[in-house]
Amino acid sequence: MNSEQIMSESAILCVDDEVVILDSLKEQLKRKFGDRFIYEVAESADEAWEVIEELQQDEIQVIAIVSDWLMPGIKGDEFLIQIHQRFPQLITVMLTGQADEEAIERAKKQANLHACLHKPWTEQELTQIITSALD
Amino acid sequence: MNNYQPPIPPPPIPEKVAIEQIKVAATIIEKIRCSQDIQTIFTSTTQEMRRVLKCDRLLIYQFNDDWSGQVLAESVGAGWSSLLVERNNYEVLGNGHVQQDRCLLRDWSKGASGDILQQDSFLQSTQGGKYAHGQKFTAVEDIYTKGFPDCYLQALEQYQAKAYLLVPVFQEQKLWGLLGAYQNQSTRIWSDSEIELMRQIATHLAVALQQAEYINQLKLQTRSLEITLKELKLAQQQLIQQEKLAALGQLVAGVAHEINTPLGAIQASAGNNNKALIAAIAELPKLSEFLNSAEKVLFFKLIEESMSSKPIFSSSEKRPLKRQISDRLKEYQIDNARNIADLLIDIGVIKEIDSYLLLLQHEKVSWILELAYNLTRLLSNNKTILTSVEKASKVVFALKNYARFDASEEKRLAQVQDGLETVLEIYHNQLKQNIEVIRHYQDVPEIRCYPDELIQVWTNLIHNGIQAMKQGGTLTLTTALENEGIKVEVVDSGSGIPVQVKDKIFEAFFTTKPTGEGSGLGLHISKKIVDKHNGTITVSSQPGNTRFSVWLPLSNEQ
Repeated sequence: MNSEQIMSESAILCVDDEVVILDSLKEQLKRKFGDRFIYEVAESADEAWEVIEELQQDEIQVIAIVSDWLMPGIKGDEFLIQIHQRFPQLITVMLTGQADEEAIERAKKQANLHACLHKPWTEQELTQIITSALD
Repeated sequence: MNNYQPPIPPPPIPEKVAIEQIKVAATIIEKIRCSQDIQTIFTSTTQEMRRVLKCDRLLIYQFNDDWSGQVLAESVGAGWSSLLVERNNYEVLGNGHVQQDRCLLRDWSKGASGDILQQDSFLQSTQGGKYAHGQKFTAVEDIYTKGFPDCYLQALEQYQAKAYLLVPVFQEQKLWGLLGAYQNQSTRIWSDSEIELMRQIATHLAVALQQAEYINQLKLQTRSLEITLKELKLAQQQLIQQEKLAALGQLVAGVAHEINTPLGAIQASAGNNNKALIAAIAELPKLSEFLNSAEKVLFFKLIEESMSSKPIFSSSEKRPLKRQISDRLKEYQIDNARNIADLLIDIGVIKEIDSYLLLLQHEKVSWILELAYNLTRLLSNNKTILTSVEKASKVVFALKNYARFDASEEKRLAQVQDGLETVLEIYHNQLKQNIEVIRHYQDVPEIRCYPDELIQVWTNLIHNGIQAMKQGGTLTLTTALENEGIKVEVVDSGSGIPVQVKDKIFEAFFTTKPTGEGSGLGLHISKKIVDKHNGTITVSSQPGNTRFSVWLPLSNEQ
């Protein structure tokens, strides 16, 4: 196994309740990182857990999660805190359409939030955040 | 100055004169009763009284608070100077009069033999002297026989008087002024009936003064009430506006998300399209180089299928599909099956994978799928841009509808459902969290209404519903025809309104929300707005079912 193959067994997961956002994020990541990662999307936190579960079964490790903040059910910061508790190594990024400073602070402290992306984000912001997290 | 003339003896009072006096008294009293204007009463009283008493001057004199005073009304015989005119024409002279009046008044207050050399403060300390303490009148038949000092005589000469009769006029307990009759031509002995007439009239003047005072107070009160009412209306407007702004403030954050989300999608899609187009243009010329004609036909069939396929799968539907395709590809020994499956799904190819084997097993499979991906993403990204623009404008439109509040808005035909939808759009973000919205809209006609104000009603009801269901629940909106009107119901499955507060919820400033979350005006304003539409608003509540019913009449011509 070469290193390229090891890398392709890692996934980046995007979570947002808006399909258009998921499509856009995935395409941006795919265009930037190509086959380096597997890209998965989930429309809710619950679905995200399912995806993580499935990937684990396939022995694919989720290395980063980009999660929206305002979603049905659970808010992004709480979701990322739960993720961090189970997967401390996982890189957490929050995507938000509104700056809820308290939530960002909470995520920084309790979910080791790597970065917060504000909608409308740019492709450069997104890919830089991922790149900087992986280096 | 001292050219003494014997006083006119009191004329025998023939019956005719007595009757005349009674008649005049009746006339004056009638005028006092009928007129509300105190100056008219004064003027006619002085005229009538001078006529019946046949004196040279009759005046009404008012004290100021410092016991100085002025002539308010005067009737004076031909040839005698008018104190009123003089005073009004010559300010300086007028002041002189005040001084002399004081001299004069000191004496009046003490009666005919009064000590007129008292200090100026005398009337103040005695508060009107003898008149205030019961003296009913002062009758002086000859000013030169009373031993008046020069000061006072000068004052009287100013009045050109040789004899006078003074009676006090009281307003409640306070000595208000004097009614004075003066004989200038000669001295005069005042008869009892004349004195009695003067006293009677003074009493009636006092009543008239009291009435005038009441009217004046009433006018002042009315004026002050009018001002208060204006201020209250203004305050109400401001409160409505504040309530609206507070609600808007809470919404702004949610609305920012609502607009930034489509903006994010637009920005990303446009960027992705740039890359797709550049890549596609660069790679397209190689098509003939890499693919034979059969492969090319298949390639464009794939593009065709992708572009015509419309199914929008959710991510949870895509995943099993992707697994299926990936497994199938593995059966064909195709490498990188997972990524290819993912790419195929993104391209929009989800069925009959086998028909594309020629391409999938091609040595340039990555290149082929990438070109297909770039070409097809152009279209889907454009679709994303269009729907996102539509979404953002919908939010802006709803916001504009919501924020507009024109107090001078005129009634117009509108569909109540549109208003409900505007509010649902505004609260979309809060609702999508964990609240299911059920719409039972009947086909109801438009009604003449104030649409913007009704939006405020729906906002309050829906907002309250959302707040009552923080743990999630169901919001049911119903519109239906009922009793020549439209019934709108907003039902939430929240904890309900406690019985003890149910009766208070429409009261102004009543709130169960923590400070800062609600002004306690929402439902009060809602009720006002519904009242304005001649409608009704009622509430029934039990845990798990709180129902606000608004009924609005179909024809509403007021």
